[in-house]
Amino acid sequence: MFEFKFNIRQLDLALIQLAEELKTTVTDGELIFPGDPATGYIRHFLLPNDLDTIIIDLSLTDGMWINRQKTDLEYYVFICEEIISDHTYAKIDGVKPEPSTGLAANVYLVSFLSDLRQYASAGSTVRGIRVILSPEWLASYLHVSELDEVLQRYLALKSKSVHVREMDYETHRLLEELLRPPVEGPLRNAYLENRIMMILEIFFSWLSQQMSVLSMTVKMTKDDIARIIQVEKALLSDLSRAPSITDLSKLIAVSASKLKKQFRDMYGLPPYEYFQQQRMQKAKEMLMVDQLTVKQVGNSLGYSNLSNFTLAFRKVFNENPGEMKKKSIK
Amino acid sequence: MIVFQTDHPDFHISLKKFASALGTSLSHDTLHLPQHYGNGYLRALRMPNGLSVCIIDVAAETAMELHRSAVEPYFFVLSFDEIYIKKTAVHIIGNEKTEHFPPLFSAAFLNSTMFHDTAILTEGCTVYSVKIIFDGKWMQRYLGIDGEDKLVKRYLALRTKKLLLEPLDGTYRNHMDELISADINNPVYFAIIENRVMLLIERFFSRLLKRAGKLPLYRIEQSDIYKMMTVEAELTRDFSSPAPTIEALSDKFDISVSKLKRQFRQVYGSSVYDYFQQLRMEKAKKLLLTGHYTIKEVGYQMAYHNISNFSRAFKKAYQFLPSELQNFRKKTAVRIISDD
Repeated sequence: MFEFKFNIRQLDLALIQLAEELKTTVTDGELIFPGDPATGYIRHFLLPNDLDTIIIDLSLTDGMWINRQKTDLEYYVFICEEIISDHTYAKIDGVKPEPSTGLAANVYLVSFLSDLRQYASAGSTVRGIRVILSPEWLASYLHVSELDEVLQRYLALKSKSVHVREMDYETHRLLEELLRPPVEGPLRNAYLENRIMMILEIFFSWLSQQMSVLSMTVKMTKDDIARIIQVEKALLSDLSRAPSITDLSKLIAVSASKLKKQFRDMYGLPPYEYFQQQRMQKAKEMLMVDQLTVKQVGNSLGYSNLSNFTLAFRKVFNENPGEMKKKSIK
Repeated sequence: MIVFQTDHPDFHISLKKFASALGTSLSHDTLHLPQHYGNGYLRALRMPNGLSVCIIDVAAETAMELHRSAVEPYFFVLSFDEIYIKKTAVHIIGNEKTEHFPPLFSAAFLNSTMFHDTAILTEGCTVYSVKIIFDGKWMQRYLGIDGEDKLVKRYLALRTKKLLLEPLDGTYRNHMDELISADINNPVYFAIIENRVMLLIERFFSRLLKRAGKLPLYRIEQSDIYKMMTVEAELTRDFSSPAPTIEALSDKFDISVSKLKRQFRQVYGSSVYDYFQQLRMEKAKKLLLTGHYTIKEVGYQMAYHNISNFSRAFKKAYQFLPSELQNFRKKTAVRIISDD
């Protein structure tokens, strides 16, 4: 299993770090993978309109974790990829969607304020692009001053159905064009930029449509959204102890019933269930990745009674923590 | 008759002046032609990447004479013009004059502001056009082409007499249509405009560079190129009925069948029927992608009264069936896996 963690903004620098871990180098913006954990390449481009971008075409020979750790920078990473895999998922701030098998062709946007972990198993093929977008860039190129609210709303949504866009035909076609050997010559960068810009246009025009539909069903102002985001942060600040609804509603000076409703609108679950799901995800991670014992995990997540912990875990995963841990060791 | 003179290369500034000369003003960067002059609008936009763009969709009742003085340091002007001409249209660059005749002038060309430029349109012209201005620095940064590039210099030096026309084909027109029909209230309006403008530029320059060794581009007379523009327009006017036969076209435009076939290929790069078919399938694909029509409906609109004929023709063009367009994801998976 190969794991790569990084938190720098610039993709070219991240690529150099990755190359170092692979004990190889980046040449002319290109990192050729050495065969383990993958074959293929990642190419970096700084486009004429200042977009920082990479093109990825990899076949994995080992399982791979990529983790962009959260920072306090207000940037976004735009991801457009086709992954063919037995087992793959992207986990944002600990929210793990159902892993997919077969072809996952998705387009989505993640804030730098969130932690992004992506996993794909050995044998997977990963082809796609990734673009770093700053709020200034979005404002000037997409004239998204109004999109500000739209973006906030979008990023707050973590339920997969709204968050991730299944790739459409046009995007797929453009991606294919990007993955072809680049046309050398003076127009090379224009060629790449134009296709990447078209992909962004398709995504953002979809996004603004989606969000305007959503705003009709979910009536929340920009301030409401900001407050609920604050609640979510407070709720998850300590996974060993859930704050009460009363405490939370005091925090943002909103009635308990309004808070519960708006929280559900944004995160798809009532606050306590949401907390519980995050807590059990964390538990699973500690068991499987950090290899802690059931007792250690239960205790550190605030369960003094282990059978309560086992019950809670079972409720989320339909499996006892001990059984799951055994599987991971196997 | 409207006579207008500007000495500024920026479209927005010129358009403002033009508006006040017509006794009106811009609203949302747009000049709506006052009714007694005709119909339609001119729009001048400044793109985030520094391009100055002018979009024209106008049916003019009055004759027009538009002058732009030479500007130093000079800018490049790339035009995509589709002009339906009633009597004549004259374009004077420096001291060289070209006259265009009815019915149609439909081409892209690159120009610079090095010379005084005059366009004289007689009354009743319909202008559908996208014009783009940039300087040498922009060209270097975005296109990687040096403004002092030999090819570009040679191209510009040819000016009008052997004006290097790039006749507009279906692909150019497609970008223009998407650009001109974009809704200004769309939140991503500027991205739509800029992206289509960039695609127009990319295509123009990549074709120019590809043929770098071969200036002038065509070995046929300019008047014959104009004739082909008219043939092309007739050929692609209407996809809801079958393609006109070559004989019908040759009769209509008074040109021999063999000359028509040869010259059409020289100008548009493929045979008359292949060209028609390619555009027809592009159009079908676009209609299908809107999701508003069934395959049968699209087939009908493209003059196929038999679905399986339509599907077969579509598959020939794209290697997959119209029904697979929506489900292309499954298809991709199968294809990629089978590659291994």
